[in-house]
Amino acid sequence: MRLLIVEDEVKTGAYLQQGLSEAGFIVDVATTGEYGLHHAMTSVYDLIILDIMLPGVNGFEMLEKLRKNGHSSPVIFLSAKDRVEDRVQGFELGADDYLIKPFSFSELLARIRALLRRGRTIEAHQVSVADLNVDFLKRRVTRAGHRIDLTAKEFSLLELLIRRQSEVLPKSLIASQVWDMNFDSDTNVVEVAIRRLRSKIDDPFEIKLIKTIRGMGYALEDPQA
Amino acid sequence: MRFWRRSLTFRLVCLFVLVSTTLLISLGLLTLSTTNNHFLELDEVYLYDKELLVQEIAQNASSSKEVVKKIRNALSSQPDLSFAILDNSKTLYNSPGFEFPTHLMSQPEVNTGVVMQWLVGTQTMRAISTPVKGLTVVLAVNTLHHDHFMTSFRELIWVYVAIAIVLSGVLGWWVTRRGLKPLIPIIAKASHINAAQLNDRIPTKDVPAELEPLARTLNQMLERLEHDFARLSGFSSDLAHEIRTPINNMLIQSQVTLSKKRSIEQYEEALLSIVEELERLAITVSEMLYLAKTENHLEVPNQSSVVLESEALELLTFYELWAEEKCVTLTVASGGTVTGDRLMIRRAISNLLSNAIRHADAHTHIAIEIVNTAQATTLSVSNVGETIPLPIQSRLFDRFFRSDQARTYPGFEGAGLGLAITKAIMQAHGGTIAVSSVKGHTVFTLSFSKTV
Repeated sequence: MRLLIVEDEVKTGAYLQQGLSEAGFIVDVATTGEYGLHHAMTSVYDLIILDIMLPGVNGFEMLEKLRKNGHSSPVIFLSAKDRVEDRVQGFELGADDYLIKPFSFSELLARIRALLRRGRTIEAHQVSVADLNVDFLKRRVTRAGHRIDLTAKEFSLLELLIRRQSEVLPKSLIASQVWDMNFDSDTNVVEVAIRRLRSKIDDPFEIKLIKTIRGMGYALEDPQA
Repeated sequence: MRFWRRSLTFRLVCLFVLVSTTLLISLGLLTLSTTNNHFLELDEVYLYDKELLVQEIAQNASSSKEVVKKIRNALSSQPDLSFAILDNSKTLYNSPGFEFPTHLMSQPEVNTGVVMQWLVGTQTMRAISTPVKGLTVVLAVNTLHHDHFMTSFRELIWVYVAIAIVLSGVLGWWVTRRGLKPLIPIIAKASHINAAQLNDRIPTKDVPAELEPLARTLNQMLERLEHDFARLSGFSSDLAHEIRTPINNMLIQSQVTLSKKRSIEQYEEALLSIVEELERLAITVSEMLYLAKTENHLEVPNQSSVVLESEALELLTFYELWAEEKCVTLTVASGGTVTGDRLMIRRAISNLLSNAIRHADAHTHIAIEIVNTAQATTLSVSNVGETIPLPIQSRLFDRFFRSDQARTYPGFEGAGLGLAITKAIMQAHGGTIAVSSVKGHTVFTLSFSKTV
């Protein structure tokens, strides 16, 4: 997967490049809108991350030119501006997501993965991780052959973790996806919910599937895989 | 055109001149026409007087010859008077230099006593004719002398009018300047007011009655500006303070960590603590922005119908896990619908609920109660816990106010903006927020007015 980052702030660009490269992407960085446009026109990218405030051609103009030339790669805007009009303008021009600085790296990663996956995978009815098996149609969870009863919200939480397995999901993303809490709410609740879920699917078993990545969030993966 | 728009003096002087010009010109025209009419009357009276004389003379005469002779004798000595005696269209006698135009003989005015008028060269003649013993006597005056007078009088009047117009312009300018003088202290005062002395006010005492509303309005504007300015500067200093502390923490921690070689675990620990600090900072900044936007009405609430109990119930599903862990039960009682922004109202309730859970004693009950009255729909969240002392109650809704001044709570404790945001949201909806705390029973009440 090849990504293009257009960001004039050198440090931000470098750290994003490092982080995304380590997450397994091939990453190019452009520091001005002109360079970015040149890169985007001459190579093929699976996704473009665009800062809005850029010297020369700004992010909005760049996206407009890209879309006019028939480039349909998904675009995520990064911006320190959080006025509703800016967001609306971004989406109107055909952006796929809009992140406001400061954002957490795990949030960006989760959104990149979600965009890249979009429309590609057929959601499986049944997923297994190690000896954990989840049947989404029957809403049934078993581990090592034992039936585990989950509440509706616990099931939604597990579904989110397992559908995006191996991805680090920040607490704010979990709160918004599972409970529709789209503002900075108490993340205590997410911690409690994860603890509850662990007590049911991890605690009785030797292999722990839900990992806490401190400072970033939670991920579900098979440690032996 | 721009000058016209800009200068009040110019406008007023123009209007003044326009008014005085109209008045002076009409006055001049009136005077001229009155004088002219007066002369006409004088001529008429003079002619009728002479007509009487002619008739009297004619009565004592026996023949027309005698009539002619007597009239000639009587009228020849009259200055300014010309006359002709006609027999049908035949002229029997003419004053020297006078000739009655023969075409006037057929006019209807002849022998009726109506004044006739005609021009001889540049001179105007006025005449009446009267029948005397089968003859027609024409009596005429030359208007030359009052034409002369009228000409010079007309000139004089127009010169006066012109001078008066110019004078009215000058006077108008002077009057305007004087009239606008009371504005000068207002301007002087206003020009001295800047951010550093917003408490200054424009004096309303010595200002003319018409300008008093202006001065008062300006003062009210200053009042609002001062208030907003104070809020804004308070906001920036709060923000600076709130940001300074975590920055300081991170700076010291990073420098101490870097001061000698450490184990990987120690580096990890340091980075994690910085991440936590930064996350707190990020939330503080975004909450500050949200608060500022809400307080300054940049975030205008959508006006939709919000069912309070369903919002509360949805929030319960979010908070109930945490509440269970703290051995606290949650309930929602009754219901009501208000008009407002769903997300904002949800945020307001969420803030109250999370505070209630945080401060509730174990094995107690948190009740959300929605009450409909004629004036308002209220939503109250009550919990059992420590009583909030009265002096603290009034400060609860201040920015960055925390009941525990040091950050003693482990993990995430918010920026101390929750209640300030809730209050701002309520104000944006034209509602209020209130608190009461008695004997360990604390109730926060959101009240949505129905009259808005």
